Amino acid sequence: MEDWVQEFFSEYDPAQARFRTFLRFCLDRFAAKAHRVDLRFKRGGGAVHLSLDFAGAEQALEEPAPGQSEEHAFDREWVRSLFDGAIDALALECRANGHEIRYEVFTQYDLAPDGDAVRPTYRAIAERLGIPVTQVTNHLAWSRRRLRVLLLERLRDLCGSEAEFQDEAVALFGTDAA
Amino acid sequence: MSPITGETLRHLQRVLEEPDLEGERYRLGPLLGRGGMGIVYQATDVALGREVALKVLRPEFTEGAADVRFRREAQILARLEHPGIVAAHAVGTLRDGRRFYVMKLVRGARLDDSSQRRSLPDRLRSFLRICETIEFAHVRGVIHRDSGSP
Repeated sequence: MEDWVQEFFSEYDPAQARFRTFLRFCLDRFAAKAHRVDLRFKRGGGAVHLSLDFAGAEQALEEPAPGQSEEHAFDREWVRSLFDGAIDALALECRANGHEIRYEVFTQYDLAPDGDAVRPTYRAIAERLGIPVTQVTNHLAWSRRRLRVLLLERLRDLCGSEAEFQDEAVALFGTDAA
Repeated sequence: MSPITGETLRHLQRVLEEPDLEGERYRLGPLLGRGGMGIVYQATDVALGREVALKVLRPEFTEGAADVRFRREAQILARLEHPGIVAAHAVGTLRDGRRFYVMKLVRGARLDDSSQRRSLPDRLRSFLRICETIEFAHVRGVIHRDSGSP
């Protein structure tokens, strides 16, 4: 598995393309290959059972909004995957350092499943967790600070140059970024 | 963890870009504009009870050349006292390491929004005032390098 991953990344040349472009290229190549395999099966080729959770993946991805290109959808999923990874890393870090309460506050406020419409107030979270409101503010500020660092660290690791990193970082933040 | 929803993603993108003003004398207001290096918000100076403009370095620029340029920009702004140049009140560093500086909040219409409604002589008068302001900076050794035509 590790050899396969190394071989995959050995094809990436930062001088030729941004990492995201490289991934997009690989994805297109994979889709074309899958399409060819699909056609072969329809012509009577051998049946292979794949255990990939396509249904789950489809559910997790949002349909592109009307007028939005597949390129835009790909960019958004790229940003989403970076956030997912960084949030996982934040959870692990909080657990490892005995800071579960910080992650809990962050989850209850920033990851509220129904968004701004029903986001709980700081006071409601404080009462639920039995802590002062000021601590809710502090834990949330800490978690966001830390998440920002983890996000940028992950992005930097994926970029081939400082210029690419700065270019990609623009798409990470801001309300109109994705 | 299951992937975050689109709405949660947009919320996170917004709050992670916003400056963390905890411990500062400013309360964050609406976003006014976003440039290549910094983001400008309206803010309230709680100590003096006045509205200001707060420019903060983008999250990815907490160190390196951009950080140095941003600090220099604030210093230059602070020493250029001219009616055509926005006055800088204060500089600082947020808890996450991002630099910020606070300026006078300028109200009114943007030149590029209002110029179509104005007569040519009126627009030329504005252009002359801009040239005088840029000359004021030039004779003090400052070149703007980012001025554009509306």
